[in-house]
Amino acid sequence: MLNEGYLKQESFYEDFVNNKLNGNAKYFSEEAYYIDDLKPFPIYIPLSSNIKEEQQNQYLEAFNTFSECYLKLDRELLFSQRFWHSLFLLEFREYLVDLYPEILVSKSKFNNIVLKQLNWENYIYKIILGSQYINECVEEQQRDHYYKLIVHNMDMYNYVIKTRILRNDMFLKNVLDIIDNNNLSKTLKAFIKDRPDLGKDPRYGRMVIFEFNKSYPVVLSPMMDYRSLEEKFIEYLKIYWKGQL
Amino acid sequence: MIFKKEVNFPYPVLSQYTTDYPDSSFELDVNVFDLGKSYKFTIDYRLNSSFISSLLSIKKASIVAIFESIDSSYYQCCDELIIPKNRISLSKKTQIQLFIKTNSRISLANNNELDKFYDAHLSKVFIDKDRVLAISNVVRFDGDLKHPFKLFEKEYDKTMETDISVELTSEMIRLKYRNKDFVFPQNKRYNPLNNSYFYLGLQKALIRFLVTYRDEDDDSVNILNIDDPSDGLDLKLYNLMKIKGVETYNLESVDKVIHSISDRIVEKQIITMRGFIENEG
Repeated sequence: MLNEGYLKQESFYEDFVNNKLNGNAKYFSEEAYYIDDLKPFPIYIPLSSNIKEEQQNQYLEAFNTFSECYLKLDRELLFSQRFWHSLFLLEFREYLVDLYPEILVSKSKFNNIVLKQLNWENYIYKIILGSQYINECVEEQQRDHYYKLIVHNMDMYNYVIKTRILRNDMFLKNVLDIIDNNNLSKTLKAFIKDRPDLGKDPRYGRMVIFEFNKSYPVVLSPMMDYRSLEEKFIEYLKIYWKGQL
Repeated sequence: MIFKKEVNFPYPVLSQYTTDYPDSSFELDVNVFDLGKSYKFTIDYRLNSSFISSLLSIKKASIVAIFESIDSSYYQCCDELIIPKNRISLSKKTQIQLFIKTNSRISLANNNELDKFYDAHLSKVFIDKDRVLAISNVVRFDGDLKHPFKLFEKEYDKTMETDISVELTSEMIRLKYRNKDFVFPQNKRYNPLNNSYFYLGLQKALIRFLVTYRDEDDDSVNILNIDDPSDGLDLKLYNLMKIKGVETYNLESVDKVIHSISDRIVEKQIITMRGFIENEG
């Protein structure tokens, strides 16, 4: 494992590019973990507004690989940036450089793809929570269906995991079901016109999440059963959406 | 999902942030034990409100335990919760709180614990299903429980008679080697092979502990019954065993204790050796 101060070392990026990190004592700590059968997966999958099949497949690959190899690991490790950096920059260096060759030429691309903070904006974080949640709440045969729901409703997924109160497995699953059962995917993504009071880029889905956030803990949304939550979801949506549902 | 703000609820809520129930209370205490692959939380609460207690007993309300660290999970409250380490990490701040929530629409008409302000309105106040009724205090765990103790130190002594010896000092388990070569080189891949010596050291320390603190006519020691040891090394072992939930052991079960307190030291060694052999082939 890389030691605590590795990011502060000035030569870190250069040494990475020149493949000089391995075996270089100044980057290493005493800590080591021996874990069998780890496989790499895509760690940077930004989606364009027209989701291409290749992007969906990358997500499916990431979710499935993570579920196969990493689900059993302690969260203490999974939510440690140092762990992921140690893994991808050392063990999986070749994979990383193959998939994202731009990181060898541009330090800012390297920073954006590899060194992103481990929070909701980070793709590894998205994969960790998505895999854990779907594996916890959904039977094996159905999991790919839910992974696809996440990919096709990424904005909603982001807003759920971004909101501390709503970052929960059953809540996410229920929301995905509500969207799926009521065909709300397109509606929730739509831009809300003529509402400058709602901020820069208001979308119907984002406002529903906002309402759930506001009404907690009076309305205990993460603990509600599907039917009750669905009722509330539609109620909140109708505050903003004036068309047919 | 933890809630600590002072807000105005649209109906009376029992919590330390509101004055709606002047004489009632809802308190929480939690202890955590490290079980190796999971944590065990013991949930101890005191609800001082007969109105809410009666709602609980007829199942019109229920208690939910909320665990928030990286994300939030909620559980039907009970005395004890065992959560695997792949679902919770205690090395980041972890907060636990209890909520009492309504399972169906309820009336406050028979609630005589409320502030006088509500007297005039009581018959008209109804609370819907899935709403919060009471919020406990928050219990918080900061930082990790892992290994705050350094137990081992290494020494090289050319003049030793044997190749290896294990000494128990007043603070540490000291592993002595006659030759530096006996400790594998600093290449990080090989280091855990030292673990068989760690195992020997722990065995010696735990047996000494057993002999020192066991009950008189018994061949086992009961961790819960002894006072804090005055010897430094014994105190470290004592604390480590308490945290890891080891309650008693004897000569036969020393290996089990080592397994619980040392994060699978021997397991790591076997895995490393396999890796070794495969690479050489």
